[in-house]
Amino acid sequence: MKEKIKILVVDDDTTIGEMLKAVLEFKGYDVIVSGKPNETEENIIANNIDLVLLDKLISGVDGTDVCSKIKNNENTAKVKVMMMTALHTAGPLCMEAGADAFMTKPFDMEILFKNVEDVLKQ
Amino acid sequence: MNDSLNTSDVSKLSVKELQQELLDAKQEIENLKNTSDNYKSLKRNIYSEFEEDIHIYKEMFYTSPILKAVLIGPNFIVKSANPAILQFLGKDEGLIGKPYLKEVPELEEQGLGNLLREVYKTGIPYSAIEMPVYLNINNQLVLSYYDFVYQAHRNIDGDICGVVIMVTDVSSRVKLNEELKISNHRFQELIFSSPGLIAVLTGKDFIIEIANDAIIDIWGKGPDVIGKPIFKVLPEILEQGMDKKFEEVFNSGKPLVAQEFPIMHERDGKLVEGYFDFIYQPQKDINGKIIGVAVIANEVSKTAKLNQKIRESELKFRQLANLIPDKISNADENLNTFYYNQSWLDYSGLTLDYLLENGWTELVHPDDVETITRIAEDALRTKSDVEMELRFKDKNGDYKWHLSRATAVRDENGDFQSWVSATTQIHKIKEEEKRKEEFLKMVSHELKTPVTSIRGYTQLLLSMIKENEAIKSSNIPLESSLRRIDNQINRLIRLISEMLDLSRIEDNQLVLQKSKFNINDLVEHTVQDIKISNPNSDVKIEHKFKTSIFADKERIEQVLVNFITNAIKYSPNSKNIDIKIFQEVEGKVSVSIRDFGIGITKAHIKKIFTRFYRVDGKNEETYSGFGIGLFLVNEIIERHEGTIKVNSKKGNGSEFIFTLNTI
Repeated sequence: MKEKIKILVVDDDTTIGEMLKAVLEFKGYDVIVSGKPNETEENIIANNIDLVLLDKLISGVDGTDVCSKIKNNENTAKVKVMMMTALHTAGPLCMEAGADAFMTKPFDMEILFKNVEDVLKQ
Repeated sequence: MNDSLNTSDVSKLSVKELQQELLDAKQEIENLKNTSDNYKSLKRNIYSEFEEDIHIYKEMFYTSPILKAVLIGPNFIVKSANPAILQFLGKDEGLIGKPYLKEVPELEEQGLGNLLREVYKTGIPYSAIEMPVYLNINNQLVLSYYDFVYQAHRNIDGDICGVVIMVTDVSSRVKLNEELKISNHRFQELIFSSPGLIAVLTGKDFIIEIANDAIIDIWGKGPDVIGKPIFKVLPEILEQGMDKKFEEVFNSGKPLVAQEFPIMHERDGKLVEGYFDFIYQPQKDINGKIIGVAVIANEVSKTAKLNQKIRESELKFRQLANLIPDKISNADENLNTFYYNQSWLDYSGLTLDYLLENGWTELVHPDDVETITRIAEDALRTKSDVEMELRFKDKNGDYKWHLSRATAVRDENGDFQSWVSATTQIHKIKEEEKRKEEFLKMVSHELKTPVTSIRGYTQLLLSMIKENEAIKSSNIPLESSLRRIDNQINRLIRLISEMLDLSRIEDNQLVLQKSKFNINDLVEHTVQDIKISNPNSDVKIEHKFKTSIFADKERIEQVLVNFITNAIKYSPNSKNIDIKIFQEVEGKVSVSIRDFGIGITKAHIKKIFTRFYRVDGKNEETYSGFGIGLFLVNEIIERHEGTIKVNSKKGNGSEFIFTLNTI
């Protein structure tokens, strides 16, 4: 049986992280939630992550910086990154930082599933 | 010595005696001869003197400019006539020896013959001054004036033998006098019929010599004031110190001019205040000595009072303008400011003179100069009202935001007069607005997190129920409850989004994420979503035209949701909503959303697209909402270069049509 896809959710707001974990696990993904954006690269490598759901605004850290680091680190560059933002206009900034997709909060679960599937297919 | 010498005696005489006799005789002869010479000389002298006198008299008679003639006898035969009288009568020397009255018959006709005869008869001389006499000169009767004397002429015995006439032509003098009289009359007329107030006061006591009717009327007196000292006649003006003014003019010889000078004067027995323009002009005699003062005045009470009112009114408005905390200025058509109120001075810390000299442009924030210049140029060209937001430097060097409104003031004919500008400091409002926007952004962002979370769990539960037949078939209304929660969450999300959009629009940050999509599909999809939360509504879609557009799909969906949910909300008694997609103009597509609800009055239609506007009225107020939905819709459509049209009638429902470009 194919190994489950592993998703890392990086968000300091645990309510979102926990919700995403519940929803995505229900859909059959393996989900790890982290509130520490600075440990993302290590987390990816340690847990063999396929996709990172990265919040744009994490207390004290800009998600785009985290995204850039992931994409510039050859050990993590191939991992898909989908950014989440509450700002409608932040999309281009995320894409510039190398994100593979972005979602505007609050998102519909159907859209979340579709986007996750789409980005993993890329 | 003996007188005679007889021959008998001679013999008796000695030779010596004879010689003596002879010598005596010789002496006698010599004496006689001398006497005769003296006599001759005397005679010659006397004759010469007489001749001289005659000559003088003749000279005097003939060369005199006075017309003279001597008439002899009862027929007044001209014995002599000087050239002056001959010329004057138009005669020559042929007149001499002829009867005077026959030769100059017009004199007899004018009664002068009788006068001559009277003098001839009585010997009493007759004299006349400036007598008008017509003379026939070249067959024309010419009027002239004469001073003349008719005097009896007497012979050596003292008997009257004729009449001497002496005439002076005084026509020119008479004419001059006549002209003087006319001129004087005119002068009097001018003074007396003048509506201006004229009086001439003479002497140190200022005796009223001349006063025309107008001034006497103003004085409230009668013509008996002439000859009286003015301050006796008008004691009230003495009390007002007018004597000082008269004396000043009298003593200095310089005229005094006053305008709108208030003087209390008597009117119908009461003292009233009047205003006068006047000149006190010194009057000089021919030697240049000041002999009095002429008063030439005009009553200007009406204009003066009007001017007074205008001045008072202007003062009032100036004070008013200075009391206003706003900055008020007034500029000419070239935008040169000629008035600044106190507020400008207080704010800028500059003096009025400095501002008048240098204008206000140097107070403008450098970043605003370009905009201001453009707006000012437009205003100069179009002369239409202007409104702008800009920053002005205050006295501490800090820039503060202001709202400046300039209105073109026009006269009755609509011609441009000046710019009046009112500039209000909106710095605090601006800052508040910015804070409010920041706050809105934060609020919506903060709200989104829990909402996202709730939504996730709700949808997770819904998905779980879908796969669990046991729960599905149980009596617990779990699924329907969760669906209602989901719908309410969607509604909440929409409200949060609108709030965020609003701050974005104000920040000019509403960026469109355009893509190509089918408008018909979007309408179908949106209606399906809405139907879920509004199962009682009957929304019909008519696809008269099918097309794709290039637009922000999410925003256009927002527009549709707004129109459709409004249609449902404002149609409490009707469940029908008709949607129609059609083409009216090539290259465009229109979507019409028609309801049969409460409708909108004409007055409100224009306003419903403004921010926070909610139709008032007892009924309308019961509908929920922020009053930002249509404002956002309008912004979104405008940013897509589309248009919105509203057809509505109170009580008859509304139709909203938006039109966008097709690809």
